[in-house]
Amino acid sequence: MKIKSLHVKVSLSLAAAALFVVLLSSQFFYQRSYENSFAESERSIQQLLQTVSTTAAIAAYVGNKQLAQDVISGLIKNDIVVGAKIAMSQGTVTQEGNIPDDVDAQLISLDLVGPFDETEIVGQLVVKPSLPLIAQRARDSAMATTVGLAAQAALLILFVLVMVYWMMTRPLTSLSGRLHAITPGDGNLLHESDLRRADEIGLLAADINTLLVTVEKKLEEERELRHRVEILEHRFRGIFEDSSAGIFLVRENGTLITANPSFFKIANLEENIVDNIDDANIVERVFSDTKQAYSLVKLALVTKRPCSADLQIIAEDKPGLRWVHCIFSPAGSEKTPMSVEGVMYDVTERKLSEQRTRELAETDSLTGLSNRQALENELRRIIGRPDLASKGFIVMMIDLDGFKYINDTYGHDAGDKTLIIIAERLRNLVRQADIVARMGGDEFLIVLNSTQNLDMAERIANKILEEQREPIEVQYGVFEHVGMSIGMAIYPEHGDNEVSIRKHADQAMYAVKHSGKNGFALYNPDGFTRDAVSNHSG
Amino acid sequence: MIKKLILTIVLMGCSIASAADILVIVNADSSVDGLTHKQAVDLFMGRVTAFPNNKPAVTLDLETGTPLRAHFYKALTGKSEAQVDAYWATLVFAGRMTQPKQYDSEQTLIQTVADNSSAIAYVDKQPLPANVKVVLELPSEE
Repeated sequence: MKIKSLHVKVSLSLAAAALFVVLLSSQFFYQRSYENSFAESERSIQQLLQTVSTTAAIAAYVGNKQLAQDVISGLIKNDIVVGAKIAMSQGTVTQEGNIPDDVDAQLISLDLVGPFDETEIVGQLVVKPSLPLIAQRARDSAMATTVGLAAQAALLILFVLVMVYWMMTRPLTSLSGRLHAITPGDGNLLHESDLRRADEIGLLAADINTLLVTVEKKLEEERELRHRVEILEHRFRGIFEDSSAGIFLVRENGTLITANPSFFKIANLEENIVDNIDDANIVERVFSDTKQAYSLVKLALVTKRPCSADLQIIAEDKPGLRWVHCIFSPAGSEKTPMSVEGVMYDVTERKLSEQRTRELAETDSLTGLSNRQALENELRRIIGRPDLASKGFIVMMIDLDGFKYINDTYGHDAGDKTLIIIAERLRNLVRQADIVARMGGDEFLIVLNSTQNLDMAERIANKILEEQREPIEVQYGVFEHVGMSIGMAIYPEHGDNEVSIRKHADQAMYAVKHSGKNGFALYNPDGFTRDAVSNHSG
Repeated sequence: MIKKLILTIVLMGCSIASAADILVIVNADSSVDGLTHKQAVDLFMGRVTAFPNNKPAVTLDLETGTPLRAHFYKALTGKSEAQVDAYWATLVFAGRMTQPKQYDSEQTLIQTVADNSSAIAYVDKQPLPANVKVVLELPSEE
């Protein structure tokens, strides 16, 4: 058992200390007591001799052996005396017991002084003490002293231990036990009986209670705070989770940190992509124009303010393109690596309706071709882009011959039908990349993109004219031929802007009209001759 | 101071007035002519039973209670009469020792000494018959 009670510890150390002290002191006291006892015995023998000295002196003075014998017999009766003798000055010796003559026999002697003349030594009284007996008594006495001392010490220790137990250990144990039963924060306090003590333990109990109250208060505050934070977090999480907008956090390099369910829904991704989120480059996986998306992220990081744009996203299972409006805001602090918070919402519907609106605005409602506005925009766009402008293009201005006649003869429906058929024919004769527009009335314009090849333009013009030999059923069972006058101009040779190139193509077209119609001509800055117009036979 | 002086004078006066010597006497025929104080003590206290010249000696004593007896032992041994009697009692009790024989008066002592050549006794200083002689004179401070 590692934990020893305070009392056991105190008892053990006290007992050890006491044992040490008792051992040390008993050694000392035994020795002293032994010596004292020994000296005491010698002193009592001396006193014994003093008691009998008068009689012994008389005996020695008169040389009375009988009297001497009486004295010695009396002495020998004491058990600490094993031998005694009276040596008289006349030479007579009265002795009883064994008295050795050697010096170290530890004899005790007393000179006998004459009873009437104190200057005269009339004899000597010699006694041999019983050393073993004296020693035994000394030992007994010393032992008794020592044992008494030890007993006293033991009693004192016992008393101290009881007092320590009663006054310190027991209240401490009880305090400790009660404190142990209290879990800080459960509202329990130490009992009042612990506080009533007027000593340090009472003070301790009072302090513990103060501490408990403080802890309780702190814990309560902490709980309250945690509760509020939880509610707040719940709300924010709700906003995050339930938002219809996709919210996501990406690193500068385009990898995903976190995202809400809406994000995955919009981006048409499985949510388990989060499992290997670290190497999921979300920018590349989601946006079709990765470059544009990256540049938007960069922009947000550099300008440190939100940047937004409509971006196309890859949507494999859904037909057509999908659009999202994406707002990138710089997130993170100086401590965390730079990241960007993105908010995206699906704007495909809006985008499509916009597109439809735009298409509507740019389309000739009758023929489905581009209208004048769309064409002008397109030309401006091409000229504005050096990569496209450098390749050049050829403009063909087309005006129908005899359309007024059909309109006036068969009505507007027939005219419209004619225009529709012509439009269809023109569209079919050029490449997809080329532009076919109706400029209004019976005027059409074709832009052959990315070419300055006049031969090709002439071939196409011929093919267009050739196609018009096919009669158009303007009314049920009524067929009519419609001719065309085509004026061509080459960019940038014949004009470096949208207005002049069209004007020049127009001039070429009028030249064709004036020289017999149904043919084509290239713009000539020096003026037109009859030769310049290629009239179509038929 | 004056008181002390007067006391001293009074004491001196007493001493002078009562100064009466005690004489130790033997038979005139005795071969002993004189004794030392110590020899007298040894004889009277029973240590020796013979004179220094080894002639036997018989010590005579006065009866207990006689004033002279107390004076004599005081002068001889410095002990009181009671102490001397206790001394003798110790020796007699131990055995083989006898106290000097006691006589009722000085005249009887003188007569006995005159009749016995070994006898020795003590008397107050006084004119003595010719058949006894003084061997020691003890100053008594009675």
